[in-house]
Amino acid sequence: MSEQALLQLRELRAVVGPREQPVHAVRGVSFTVRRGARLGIIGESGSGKSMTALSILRLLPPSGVIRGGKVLYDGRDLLRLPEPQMQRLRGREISLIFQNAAAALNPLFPVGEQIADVYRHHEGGSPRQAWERAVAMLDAMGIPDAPRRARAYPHQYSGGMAQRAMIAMALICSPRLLIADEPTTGLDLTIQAQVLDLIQEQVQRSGTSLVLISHDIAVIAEVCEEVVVMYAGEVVESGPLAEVLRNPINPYTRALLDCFEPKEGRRLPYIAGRVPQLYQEPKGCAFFNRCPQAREMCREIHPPTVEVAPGHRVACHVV
Amino acid sequence: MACGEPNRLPILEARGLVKRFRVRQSLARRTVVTAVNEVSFAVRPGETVALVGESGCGKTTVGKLVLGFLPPDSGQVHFRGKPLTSLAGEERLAYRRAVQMVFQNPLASFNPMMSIGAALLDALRLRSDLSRREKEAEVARLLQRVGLEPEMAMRYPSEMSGGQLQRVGVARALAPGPAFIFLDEPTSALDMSVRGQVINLLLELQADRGLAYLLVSHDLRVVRAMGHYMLVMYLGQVLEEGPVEEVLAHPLHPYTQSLLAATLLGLLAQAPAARRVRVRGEVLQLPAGYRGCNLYRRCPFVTERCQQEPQVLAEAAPGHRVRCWRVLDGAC
Repeated sequence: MSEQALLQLRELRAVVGPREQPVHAVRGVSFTVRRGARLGIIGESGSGKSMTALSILRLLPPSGVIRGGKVLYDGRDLLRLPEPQMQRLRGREISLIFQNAAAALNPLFPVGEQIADVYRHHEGGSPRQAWERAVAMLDAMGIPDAPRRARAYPHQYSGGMAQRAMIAMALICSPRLLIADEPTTGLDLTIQAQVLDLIQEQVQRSGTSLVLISHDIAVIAEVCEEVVVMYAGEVVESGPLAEVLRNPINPYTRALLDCFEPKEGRRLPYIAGRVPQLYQEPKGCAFFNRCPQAREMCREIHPPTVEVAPGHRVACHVV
Repeated sequence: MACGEPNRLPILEARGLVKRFRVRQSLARRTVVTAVNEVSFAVRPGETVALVGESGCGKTTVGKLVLGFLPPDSGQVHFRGKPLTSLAGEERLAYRRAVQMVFQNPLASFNPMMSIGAALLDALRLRSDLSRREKEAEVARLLQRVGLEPEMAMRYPSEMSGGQLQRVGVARALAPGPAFIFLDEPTSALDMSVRGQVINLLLELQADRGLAYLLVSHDLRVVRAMGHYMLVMYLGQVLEEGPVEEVLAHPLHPYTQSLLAATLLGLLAQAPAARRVRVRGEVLQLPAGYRGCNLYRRCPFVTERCQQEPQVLAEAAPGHRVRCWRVLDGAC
């Protein structure tokens, strides 16, 4: 559609789990990542944010099936791309980093070798060139004494260092899009801040677009310019970060933000009830049973997405 | 023991706790790590003391010391004014009943093969005053007290949500009739939208029963909601301590400021100067015999003097103590 868009999800749908009773994990997700933009996806466990990310790269777990929609990357639908081409794209054009970096690295090989492998796989060249490139990358990620640390094994890395190595691996081929799925969860606060600074610095310097997935609005607020709020496999609100933080409209977004920043007293706000089980898709709004502003129509009619301000979209009957 | 009495006797008190571990660095080399260094605090009925810090700061070791799982190398833990080491027989049993714990990960802290009811019955073993039937009635009462249906006793841990199971974790801690509960990251495994439920429950129980809490958390939002007094720890030392409202509104130590900068509280803090403070690098082991500030290689404001001079924890404002000479000298 627009020249600015690098990635566009359109009505993406995916299910996971046993064929007899699959979970509708991603239910018609649409959003756009502009070139060079930093977009955050916030949602709680089970909101479908990770499944959305994995669907983009067609890396769903074996029981996962994409049921429809489009993933337009540079105008091409990735869901229709033959697997060999998809493989060339992963790690080179679109990279992914996970929550537990230490678990994503192979314990049997030195870290530098694993980073060099990625480079050689995509860019070719001699092992020596690739190694030097890997060391330079580790150095750029702020790993002290990189030539020596490159020869070390993952278990010799701290959590923060392992995440830096993952970022080095993800960025070594200068991708155009980086997807970071909870990259700082489980890290200490001061290390978390350092890793977020690093991600932001690196993507800004290279003009890489970023999709940052987190359950913590503080993490997204630190790095992103746009935000997508997910609940029960759907996008319930999206828009410029400052606008959504200042003027949240969907009752779920409001309730979630309240949980982070209580307004009064010692008691903390919370959202009563539970996330619905998505064995069956709810007919109306998925937040119906927990919503303080629910009306009768919310149970029956699926809320349409409405643009309430430039770029600020909300799926809710309250609008 | 009414709340609000200023001179209430502490239920639990840590006095100058020190704990060292011998750590093997390689086959030949062993070093001594001081995990807890001169840590003191008192937990009174109806009060929450919060320990804040990153992994390796010694907060878990402090918990193990006050629970009596580890003996301190020096210093003492006092229970209702008496040193732990002096408790025997009935008194020892009373301490065991009075001091309980809620674990970080509710799913990992329950036996998956045991129903919720069986787990709670097990926790009632210390209540030798109750008959079998009374204990079963007590299980139902405990579940109701934490906002769950008594029928949930039939369920197994895997059949419950994280928030529900953590409520059972609280019920289990309540079972022996405690006066003090050690809360080890009680909400960090829970979704944001349910954290509030568990925290509110803990606050209610505290108001009802005058429970004393020792809270370990790295989530300053939880500390703000629950804590009365807080200690910020780093490599075994207390770097800053004071009433929670005071410390969060006016963090003095660069390390506390960096912790605040990493949260949304930091984004909205009243002290905007604190916002961008970042400590560098990672937690480092200190060289043997080192006497300067523990933060010296990571602090953005470090000077020669920081490395050479032992820092002292001293009062910077009424009731607000900090271990940083720059702050105490008014250099920043």
